[in-house]
Amino acid sequence: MISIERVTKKFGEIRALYQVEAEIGENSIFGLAGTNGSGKSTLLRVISGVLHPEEGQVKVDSLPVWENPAAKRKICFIPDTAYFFPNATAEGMRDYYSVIYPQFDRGRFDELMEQFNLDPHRKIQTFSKGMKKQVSVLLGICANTEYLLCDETFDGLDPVIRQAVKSLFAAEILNRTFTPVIASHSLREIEDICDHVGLLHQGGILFSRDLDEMKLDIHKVQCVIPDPMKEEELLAELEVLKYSKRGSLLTIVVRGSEEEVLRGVMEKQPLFSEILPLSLEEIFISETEVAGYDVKNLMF
Amino acid sequence: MTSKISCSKLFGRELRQLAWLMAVQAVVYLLLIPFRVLLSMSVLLSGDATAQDKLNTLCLQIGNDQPGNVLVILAAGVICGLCVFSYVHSTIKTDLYHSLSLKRETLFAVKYAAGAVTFVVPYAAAQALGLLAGAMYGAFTPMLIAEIAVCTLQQTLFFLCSYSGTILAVMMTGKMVTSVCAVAVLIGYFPMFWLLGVAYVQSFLNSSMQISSMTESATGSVLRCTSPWAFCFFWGSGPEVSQISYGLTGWWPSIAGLCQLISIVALTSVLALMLYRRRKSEAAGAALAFGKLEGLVKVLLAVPAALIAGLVGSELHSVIWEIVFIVLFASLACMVMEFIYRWDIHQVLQHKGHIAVSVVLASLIFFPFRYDIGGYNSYLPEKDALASMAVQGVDSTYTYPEVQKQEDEKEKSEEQKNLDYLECGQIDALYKLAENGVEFAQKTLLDDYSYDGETVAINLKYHLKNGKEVYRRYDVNRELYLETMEKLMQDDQYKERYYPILSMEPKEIYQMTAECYQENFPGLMRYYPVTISSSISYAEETETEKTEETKLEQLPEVQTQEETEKETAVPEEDEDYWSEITMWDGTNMDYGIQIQIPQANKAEFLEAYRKDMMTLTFTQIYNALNSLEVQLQENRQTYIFDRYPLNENFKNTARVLQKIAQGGEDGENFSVIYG
Repeated sequence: MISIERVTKKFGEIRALYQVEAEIGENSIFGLAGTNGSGKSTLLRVISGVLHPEEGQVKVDSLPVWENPAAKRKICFIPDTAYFFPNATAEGMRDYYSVIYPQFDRGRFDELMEQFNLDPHRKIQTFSKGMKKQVSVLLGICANTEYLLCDETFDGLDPVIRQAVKSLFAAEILNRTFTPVIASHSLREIEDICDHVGLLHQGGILFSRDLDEMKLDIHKVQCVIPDPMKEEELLAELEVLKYSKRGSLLTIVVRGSEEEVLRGVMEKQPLFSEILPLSLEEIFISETEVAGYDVKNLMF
Repeated sequence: MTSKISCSKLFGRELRQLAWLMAVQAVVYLLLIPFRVLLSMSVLLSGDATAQDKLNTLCLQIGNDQPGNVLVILAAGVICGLCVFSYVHSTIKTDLYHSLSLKRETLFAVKYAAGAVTFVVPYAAAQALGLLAGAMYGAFTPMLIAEIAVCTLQQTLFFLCSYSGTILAVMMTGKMVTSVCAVAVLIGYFPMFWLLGVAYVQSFLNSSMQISSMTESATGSVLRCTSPWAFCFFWGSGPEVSQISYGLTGWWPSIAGLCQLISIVALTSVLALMLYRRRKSEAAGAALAFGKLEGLVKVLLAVPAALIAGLVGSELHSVIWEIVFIVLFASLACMVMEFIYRWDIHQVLQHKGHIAVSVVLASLIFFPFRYDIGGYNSYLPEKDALASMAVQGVDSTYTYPEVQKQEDEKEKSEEQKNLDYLECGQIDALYKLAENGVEFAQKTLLDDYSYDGETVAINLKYHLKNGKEVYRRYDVNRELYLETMEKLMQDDQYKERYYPILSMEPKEIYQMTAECYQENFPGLMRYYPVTISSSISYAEETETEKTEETKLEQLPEVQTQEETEKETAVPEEDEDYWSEITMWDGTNMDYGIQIQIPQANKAEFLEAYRKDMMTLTFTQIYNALNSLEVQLQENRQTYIFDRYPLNENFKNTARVLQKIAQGGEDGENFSVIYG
């Protein structure tokens, strides 16, 4: 398990992370979502031991990460732009990774390169952005570390390869102890693949929850309540994250169990009511709005 | 259970990444050593070259005394340091390297070793090939192998000094551009500061006696301590020189010297590692890795820039211009630094406080020097406070055996020790000289003052009754100097003390050589059967052009001393013998003879010279050319010798010189010299 304990990281005057606390459990896919500049990449660098936080610490399986080879051995970090040596081929990088990650699975790498239709003898600098990304993901997976930190991994991958990588992650989880942490601003990607989501906002973590649990806990309800008094009572009783009204149709996003929400609505004797599915994107927008990130100001 | 990274495998992979660097160095060293050896052996050696000739030719190209090789090696250290550790300047690369399951010191050690090997392997191979190339031409001794092996070790340490120093600079910075600047600063900052100090003392403390010792030591013991590069470049100019023996290929490095080199390598490497451990990964891309030092570095560079500007401005003898120069150049230096930091022209005027601090600091150093606020040049103690004084002409310094025997006082220069030895109680006469010197020093400092009369540079010592000793150098009026010295020289004991040759035994002197030109011995040349070499090209109109060699007239038989005393001391000048040689370009060249005093005539010569010196006035002595070269026994292993005055007024001495000349052939006791 990765424990992030009150981590604060500053770059000069800029506070990239502030008192971030989260836990990333084993054998699940953790999605790290967040607004631009929210500190996703910084957090991954702190977790991988590249950056040293000014306050707090990160522990991997109870071992502090900073300057601790025993802890870092369990982690492989794939940054947004991975470094390949000048003139290196995928084969050359495989050889290098097999030195820096002693459990690197060379056979599997060769196999996956073939499956992904990538030429291991071709210079990586001649690859497209997406192909480079594929090579870096394959290197990361074959490193056979317990934790794989991926920064914007799916950025630049075509839909087919994206699905392939997702299934690869799922297969790895089934076959061994493997916990990928995926930082992305693409909530659809995270929603598709992740079991657990952490939402970073302005350097602080807004929440870190199981995705299903989160979906169970937040709902979008559309209803028509003829009595305005009862409507007001309903809004006061429920934990409303967001509401809008068009004519007599009231749309609210509320926190709470489906049963509780439905019961509350039914008590107000609506003419019509239904619970609509809520995407992660909507959850993200609602939560960040509550935290003061006003999306309406960005709608043109 | 996860496995550890194998450092040896990682080292191998790193070395593979640096293969290009090793290949480039291999080409350079192959051209520099074996190729050059082959070239020089085949071009410079003739068919009848002896084994020693071959060895000498080889040794000129290879070994300890090859400054060209040292420069290339130091440059290689800089390039390797920049290339191997440049990854700390890139966030993409630090993401890879700093996420590895290695402590930073392990990564540092692996990278450091890989970089060092890129030098050691091709350089050692080139040295071995150079040796082999020499052996092919017959230039070989077992000693040479030992010397080249030691030389390879020493030059590897030179490389490591430069390499570690460069890594130190890389660790302090976040960009390649600033790393290169930092290397330049580490190489040049302290030597420049030292030279600036010398220039300030020379320009403003014009009565200081330290200047000559400062400049003497600048190339040696001081500069070599200013940076790892300077230590290597000035290797052999340190205090250990006297303990170093000369080998086939140059100086044999001393064990102490090698230990010093190892210490420098260790110190700079440990310092670089400490900085690496403290350095944050996010420093990549910033100008300096430690942002808090930005202001300090800026001020440290702006202050000397302003001081140099102040020095130039002082030539204008206007306080306004001096201020303008200091403010302008301090501001410019700060703005340039700010631009290097931010890379944004709009931000060059940020942190105006740094400009202010630089101007204030530069002013605090400049103006006290410029206007002698400490009263250094105007220092003149009360006459009553003086216990004794001493004087010595700057152009008439001698080796005093009594001074040499004294215990080494490191804080005192040779000139100061000489003045200690020459102290006398003639305070009234010397005080007048001091007053004249102080007046002259003050005037020349503050005004664009030019003195119409002739001046003489002297060293002066004030020894106060309270024990304080103060040394100064002044320019004084020539007439006053001669008048004062005449007074002092009336005391024979003082004269003997002043000119140590007068009280020396012949056995104390290793050799004496008199240089006789038309200027100091117009009539002496006719005694010498000199053959003037025709290797000089004569102008068409000169008479000498007509013959290949001009045999000068042989003197009649040797005269006894009695006979010569009866005659005029020196025969009439013969124009034919002393005609100047006209060179191919029309310029005239004076020539004369250099007479080596034979051992048999040493006592006689010394006696005659002593007699002359004691008879002649100081003015007569002072006006004579310093053309008698005297080397003491204790200085026989060195090039140190004293020059004493000698001309035709030294009649007894001239007679002995005649006798010496008549007793030998050209090349035996004397040779022709061109002046």
